[in-house]
Amino acid sequence: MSKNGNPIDALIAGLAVVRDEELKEELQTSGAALLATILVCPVEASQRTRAPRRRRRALAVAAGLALAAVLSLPALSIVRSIAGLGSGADDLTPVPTSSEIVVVSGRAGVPWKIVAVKSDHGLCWGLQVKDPSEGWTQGLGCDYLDLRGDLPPDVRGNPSRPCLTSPTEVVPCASLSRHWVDFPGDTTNFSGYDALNRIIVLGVVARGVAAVELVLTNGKTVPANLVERPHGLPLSFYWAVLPPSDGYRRTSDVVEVTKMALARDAAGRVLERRVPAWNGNPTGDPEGAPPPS
Amino acid sequence: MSSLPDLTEAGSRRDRFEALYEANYHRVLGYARRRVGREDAADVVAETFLVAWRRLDEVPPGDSARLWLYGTARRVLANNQRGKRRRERVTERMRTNVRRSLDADGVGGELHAAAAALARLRPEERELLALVAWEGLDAGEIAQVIGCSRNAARIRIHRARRRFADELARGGGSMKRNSVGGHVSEAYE
Repeated sequence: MSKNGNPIDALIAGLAVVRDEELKEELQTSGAALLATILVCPVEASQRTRAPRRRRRALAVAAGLALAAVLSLPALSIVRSIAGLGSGADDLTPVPTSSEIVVVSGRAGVPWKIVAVKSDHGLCWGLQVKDPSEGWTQGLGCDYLDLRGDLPPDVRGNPSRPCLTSPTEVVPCASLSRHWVDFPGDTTNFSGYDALNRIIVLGVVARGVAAVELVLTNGKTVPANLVERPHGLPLSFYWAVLPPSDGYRRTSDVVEVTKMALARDAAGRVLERRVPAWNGNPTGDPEGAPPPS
Repeated sequence: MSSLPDLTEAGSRRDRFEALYEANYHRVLGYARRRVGREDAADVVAETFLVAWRRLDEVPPGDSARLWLYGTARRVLANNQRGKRRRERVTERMRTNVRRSLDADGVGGELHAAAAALARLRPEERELLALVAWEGLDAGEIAQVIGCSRNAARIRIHRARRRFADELARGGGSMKRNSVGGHVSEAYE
């Protein structure tokens, strides 16, 4: 159970119906029986690939949804102060190295803006909305940026930061290939954006990208707006405002809006296609395993 | 936090699995029991360890094995409880459990309000808070369980706590919003 002293965690801990320690005695009874049963199960390597298709798909859905929700927006962090976020001191608190840049702003029921700020953890960026009662949200993402080009450390981020290459394998992010276009993220499936009456899709692209198109899960393709190198940043932002419901794919609790982002150069040539990542395709490779449906 | 033997250096496959099982059986069972009924929990535990048995080479060494198992159990659980009908059952179970807890210790309205607030959260938010409060995981460990960056986990926890505080206040919880909200809102000040 949580011991971090957070009153919310303590309150929720009180709702647990059973503690792990109370279950230890069951190891001698049902636990032992289960162990004996499992140990006689076959373990040949092909076992997994022979699992029923329906079951494999269902498991893949679960895994995919988990990561899809995570990756729908740039990983978020708090730039100014991280107190109250975790369970104590944190060595990952980003320290800004530039002033805040408002990339673009608008209104979708409430004011919104895409904000970026350089930091010792790389570029922190994301969408902020003005909640009618609480003011502007403050979350920004500071993950490693895998875009092409020469990016300074306070934009690129920490090259040794862990990146997934499979559901269970983690490598330094810098060892992975670089891309023209970042995963498209959107405001669905996240709390904090409830006040918006539209879906906002956003992402970043490398220098050299002149246009971005978004292929949506409803079959439509829409051009994204591009903000090229705002305030001298060595990258560009793309964004689009979409209707809140337009036949997007919905799987259980997750709404999937964007199927693919497509980056073109000034001559209209396709530089890269990138799909939203999920556990089975952590790099968003369009040739990789498609998200489960 | 328990310290497991380094499974990659352990002896036979069977020994490795038994060590993994004995160190984590009650944890995985606890994880499942806190989320579903007893019978469903048994299914989740069995399937989770069956996956571990078959994919033992993929189970990381040391304490990360526990997180791997949580991640697997989470997926098994998600697979087993998709859909609104099941969510309602979970919510109902939560309410029932809380009611039982209240009857037992007479804590009263605070837990009732907390359970109601928790039930109103999105499933992913509820699970994040449960991983913190019930499994005692920090943001880095949760990142491993759900497969995201530590920063992403941290901010999602933060948002979930904030949403919980909002729901608690909306439902007239006995914890005053200022005390809860103030705590989680330090990051904004």
